[in-house]
Amino acid sequence: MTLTALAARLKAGEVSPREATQGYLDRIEQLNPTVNAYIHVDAEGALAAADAAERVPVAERGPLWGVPLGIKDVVDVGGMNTTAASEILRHNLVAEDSTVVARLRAAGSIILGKINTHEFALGAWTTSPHFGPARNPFDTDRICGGSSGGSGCAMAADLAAGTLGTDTAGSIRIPACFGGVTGIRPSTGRVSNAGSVPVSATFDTIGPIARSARDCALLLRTIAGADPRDPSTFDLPVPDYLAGLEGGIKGLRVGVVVQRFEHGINPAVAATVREAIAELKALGAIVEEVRPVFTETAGVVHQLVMLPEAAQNHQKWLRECPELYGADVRARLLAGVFLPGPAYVTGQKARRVAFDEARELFQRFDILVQPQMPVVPPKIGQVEVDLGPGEQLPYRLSLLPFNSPWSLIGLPAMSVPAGYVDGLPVGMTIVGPRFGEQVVFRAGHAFQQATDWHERRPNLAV
Amino acid sequence: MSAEGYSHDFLRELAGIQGIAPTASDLETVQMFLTTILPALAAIEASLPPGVVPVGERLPA
Repeated sequence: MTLTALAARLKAGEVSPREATQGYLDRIEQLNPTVNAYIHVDAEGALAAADAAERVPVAERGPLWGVPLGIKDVVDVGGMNTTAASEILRHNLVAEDSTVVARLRAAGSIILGKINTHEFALGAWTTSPHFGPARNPFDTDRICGGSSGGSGCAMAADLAAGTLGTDTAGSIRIPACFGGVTGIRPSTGRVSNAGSVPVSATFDTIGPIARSARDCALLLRTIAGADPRDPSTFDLPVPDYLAGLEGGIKGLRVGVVVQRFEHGINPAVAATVREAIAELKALGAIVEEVRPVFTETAGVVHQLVMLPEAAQNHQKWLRECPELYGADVRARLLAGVFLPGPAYVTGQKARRVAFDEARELFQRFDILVQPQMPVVPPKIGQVEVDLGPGEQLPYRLSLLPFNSPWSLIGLPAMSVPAGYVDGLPVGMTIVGPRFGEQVVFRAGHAFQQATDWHERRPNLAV
Repeated sequence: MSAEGYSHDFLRELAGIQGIAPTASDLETVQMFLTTILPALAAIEASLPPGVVPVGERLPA
């Protein structure tokens, strides 16, 4: 069931908050040992919150009244540990809610627990050596992507009505894609990061992973907006994303980022996304190919800025307890330590060039589209991925051109389910102009009204 | 720009100045990373138009 449908059933009194919460807790108990989506489940707290919700007068019930959610374990929930799936923060009990969790609770939602992530949100596997891998519900030998892998996993396995993830370089979009669900990286500065474990302040943003564009719109509307606790947020009005969902995409100008189909992608994945784009055209969109120059180097530019910022955030622990990191995360952080100082400024200059190019692009187009990932989810432990006959690339490098460009310049980007290859999910990214989440949701919703990819679920034995 | 000068000894010394003690495996990974990224960095530097102003942490709306 979608979050929107559950919220409607709760409001209509067809199901109570306790019944909804208990239903998810039962599923978590049955399936989490297999998929490892949750690091911590707060059954007692969630049921107490559900009981408290039932006592709220009808007139005071918010839009997420009684809706059970899971929170990526880099985002603070008061009274729970924020571990970031790390040994270093294993016992990091926090007293106060992050701004986003406070807003979700104010809207009536119930917090089920904390969700698995790549250690410190610094990788796209979600295979923490300290808390174990999140396993893909479509094939439990495969990864969920990352870093918000547990969030994509929880949605695929129906272990929450909705989740929050974070995205620095694809960490919402990748697991949404690999889980066959929907996830949006909002414009940087749209959502407060206060009360979350940072990777890189320039690129970090919290955002929803849920079943549909409509569900994501409801969650984003709840958590978005300026926050005095986070000076990087913008004091801009938050549109009513739900009100703007309908209306279709007839006449919408769609730019297809053509390079992402030409190289570095498995041909079957590319063909699947081409079919999805044909569906947009069938719905009345005006589709044209486009070749943004900055996307070719965005992966490198992104790392020039992100890695030094991440290294700075971790410098104390790198000095005092480097042995507590997983080897992959420590090496990535050290890469940031060793980059020459001027490289950071070069990165920021290149971002300006990219930003200006994108601004011109969005004079010609309302949205851009591309495949979300070049491959289907790799096996756990698989280092290289197949991109076609004789063409292999490390998974880590393969995803950069598909994800970094939009993080680099702070644009909203949403992954929607677009089909299946070998029984595994494929996603299409819809990118909007800065602070243009509204058009991204409208396009995603129109696509999901015409297709049922987002409704398909894995066959997980219960 | 290349990673030629970035020997393990040099990297270890550089890390030591910052109070960090990487393992040999860390240095191997970092050296591979630098071998890839430094030429790419040089190409990006060369491609920048003159006078371009860096953006800050907070992009324009």
